[in-house]
Amino acid sequence: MKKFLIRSLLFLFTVVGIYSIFIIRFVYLSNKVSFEIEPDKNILVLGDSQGQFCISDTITGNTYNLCRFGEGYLPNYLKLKKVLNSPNQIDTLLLIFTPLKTDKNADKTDFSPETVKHTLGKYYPFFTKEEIKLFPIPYILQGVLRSVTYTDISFRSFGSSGMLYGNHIDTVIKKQAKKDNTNETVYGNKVELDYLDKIINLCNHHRIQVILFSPPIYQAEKFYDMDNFYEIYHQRYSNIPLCDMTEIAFPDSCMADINHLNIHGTRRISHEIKNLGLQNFISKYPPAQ
Amino acid sequence: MLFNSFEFLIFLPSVFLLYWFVFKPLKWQNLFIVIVSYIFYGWWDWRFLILIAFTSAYSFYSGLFIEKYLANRKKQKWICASSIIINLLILGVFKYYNFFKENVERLFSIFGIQLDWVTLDILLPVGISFYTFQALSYTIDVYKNKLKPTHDIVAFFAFISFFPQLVAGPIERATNLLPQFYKSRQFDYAKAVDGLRQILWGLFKKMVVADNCALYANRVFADYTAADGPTLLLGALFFTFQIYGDFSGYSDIAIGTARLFGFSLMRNFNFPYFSRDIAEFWRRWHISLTTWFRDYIYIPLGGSREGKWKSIRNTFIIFLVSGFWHGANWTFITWGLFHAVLFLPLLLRGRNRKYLNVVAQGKYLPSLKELIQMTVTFLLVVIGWIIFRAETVTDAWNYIYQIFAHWQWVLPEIHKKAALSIVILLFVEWIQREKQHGLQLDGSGLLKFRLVRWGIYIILITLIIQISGMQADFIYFQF
Repeated sequence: MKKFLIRSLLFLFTVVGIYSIFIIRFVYLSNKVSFEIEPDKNILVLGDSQGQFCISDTITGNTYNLCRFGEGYLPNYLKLKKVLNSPNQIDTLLLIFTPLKTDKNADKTDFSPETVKHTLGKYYPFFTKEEIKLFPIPYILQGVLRSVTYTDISFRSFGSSGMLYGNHIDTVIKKQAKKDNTNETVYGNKVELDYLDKIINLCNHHRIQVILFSPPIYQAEKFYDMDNFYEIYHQRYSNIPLCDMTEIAFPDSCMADINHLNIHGTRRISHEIKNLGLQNFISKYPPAQ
Repeated sequence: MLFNSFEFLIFLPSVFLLYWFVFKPLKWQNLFIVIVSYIFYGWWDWRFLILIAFTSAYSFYSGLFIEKYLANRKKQKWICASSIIINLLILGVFKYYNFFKENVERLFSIFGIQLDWVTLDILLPVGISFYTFQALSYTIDVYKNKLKPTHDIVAFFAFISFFPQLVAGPIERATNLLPQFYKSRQFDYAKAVDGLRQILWGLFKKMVVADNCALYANRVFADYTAADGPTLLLGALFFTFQIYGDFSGYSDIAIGTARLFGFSLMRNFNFPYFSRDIAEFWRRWHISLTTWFRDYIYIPLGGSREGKWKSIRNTFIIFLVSGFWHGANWTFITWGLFHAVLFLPLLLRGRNRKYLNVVAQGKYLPSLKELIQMTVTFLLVVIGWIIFRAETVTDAWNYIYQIFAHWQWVLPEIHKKAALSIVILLFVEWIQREKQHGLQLDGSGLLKFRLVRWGIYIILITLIIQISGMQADFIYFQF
C-alpha cells in the first residue's frame, strides 16, 4: 500500500509538474501578447461572430475588428482592458449589441460547458478575482487544462474580421425547428449585462465614445424577443447611441444564416460605413422602436 | 454521481483512503461500503434509495425464509416466486407501465374502444434493471441451493449497492461477489495498479470515443431524412462506437474501481467488434447480462437440449427478453428479434460455438477470411444498432432504406476527433485483444521502463483532457 501511494503521488506530481510547465508557458506568452493597435485605427469593433462577419476592417480602413465567434461581453471586456493598456488611438468603440445579448439565455455564451472550455481556456490568464469567482472550480480547471495545447497565442487569435460564404438560412431554420429546448438550462443574462456595463464604464473612464451596433438579423421578430431587446436598451442604455440594423431587410443573398452576413452583406455594410463615415452611418439607422 | 465528474474525482480517493486506513475491520468496511454506495446512488436522487433498500431487504429476507423452510420445498418455491414477482413488478411499474398502457390503448382503439388509463409520470431510477437482476440472481441461487443464504445483512446490502457496479453493471452473481464481502480484503499492489489502468482506459473510451461519436451520431439520427447515404452510414458507425465506448468504458471504470478496493468483478466486454460471427459477438458483448439470461431463463427452459423447436422458441424468448430488458420501446424488441434471426441459423447448424478462441491468436494481423468474417459481423451489428438507436421501428427501417436509396459516392463530413478516437481505440484494442482490457500492460519490451508506461498514461490523460467531447449521459443509465 505504501509503495502504491508513493508511486501514485509521484505520478500525480509528475503530471501536475508537466502541466504546470505548459500552463505557466501559456500564461507567460498570453501576457506577452501585444494588444497595440495601429495609430491610424481609431474605431475598435468588439463583439461575437455577428460583429466578426459584419465589418471588414480591410474595407473601412480606420476600424480594427477584434470580434471573435462565441464570445460574450466578459472576454470582450478583458480584451478591451488589454487594448487600452497598450498604445492606441482609439476614440470610438463599436460594440455589438443584439437581441442575443439581451435574451434570457444570453449567459450561455459564457457559461455553457462547451463554450467555457474554449473561451475560459483562452482568457483565464487575464482573469482577476472577480472573473474567477464567477465560475465553478471544475470549469476553471477544464479551461486551464485545455489551454496546454493551444498553439496560436497571437494577437490575431483574439479576434479579427472574417467572411462567410453561401446562404444556409434554410438549413439553420430546419435545425432550430427540430431542436428541443424544453430541458435546456436557462442561464439568464445578468453576467452579460454586467460586463456590458463594465465595458461602458471603462470607455467612459478613457473618454471613448461607445456606440452599440446591432447588425442585420434574418426575420428578427420571428426568432428573437425584440420587445425585450428594446426594453433593455431603453431602460439601461438609452443614453448610448444604438445603430440598429436588426430589422433592416437585407436580401437573402447577403445572409449566411439567420444571424450572420455573408461576404456580400459584409462588403455592403463595410462600404457604407466607409462612404458615409461612422456618425452618418449611425444616424441612418436609429433604434426601430 | 457520474464516473467522469469532478465530484467522483474527489469521492474516489477519499473513499479509498478511508476504506484502507480507517475502516479496517471487515464489518466496518462492509458498512462503509453501504454508506458510500448509498451516497453515490443518492447523489442522483435520494428517493432512489428507498427502492434499492426495499429490493435489498426483500431479497435478503427471502433468502432467510427459503432457508427456514428447508423441509418444505413448496413454500420455498412460493417465497422465491414472490421475490421474483415483487422485484419484476417494481421493475415493470417503473420501466414498462406507460409502454404497456399506450400499446393496450392502441390495441383497444383498433376495435373502437377508447381506454383512458392514467399516465404515470414516473422517474426511472438509475440502474434499476441492473440491481434488480442482481438481487434476483441471489434469490434464485439460494432456492436452487447453489448458494447458502447470507445472515449478514450489511454484507448483503453492500453486495446489492456496491457503488462501482451499481448503476450500469456488470450484473454480478451472488456466487461471485457476495462471498467477497465475507472475507477481509487484502490490498494487492499489482491489481490496484492494473485497476487504475483499466479506469484510465475506461475514461478514454467514455470521454473521448463515446462523447465525440455522440455529437455526430445524435445530429445524424435527429435529422436523417435530409442526409445522404454515406452520412447515414457514418452516423450509424459513430453510434456503434458510441455505445461500445460508453458501455464498455463504464464497465472498465467499474471493474477497475472495484479492484482498488480488493474486489474482483466479472468481465463484461471481450472486444466484441472483433467477432467472427453473431454467436461470438454475443459471447463478448454485455457478458454479465447474456450469461444471466442463459443461466436463469434459457437453461431452465431447456436450452438447446430439447429438440429443434424448443431451441428456436428458447432462442427467440432470450433475445426478445434481452431487447425488452433494454427498455419500453418496440425498437429494442425489434433489435432483439433481429439478433435472434441472425443467431438461430448458427445454433441450428451447431456452429454457435465455432469461434471460442481469440481471432488471429498469436498473430499481428487477421487472415483475409477472418477480416471478411469480422467485417460482415460488424456490419450486421451496425444494422442492429440502427434499429436500437432509432426513435421508432419505422424510423429504423427508413434510416436503413435511405442509406441505400440516397447513396452517393461522396465523402461525408467527418468529425475528426471522433474518427481519430475510433482509430486509436481499434488500434489499441486489436493489439490488446488477448488481454483483459485495453491498457493491461505486461511489462515486456519497452513497457518494462516506467518512463514509457508513464508516458502512455500521460498521453491518454492529455487526450482525455484535450479532445473529450461534450459530456453525454452513459447510454445504459437509462436501462
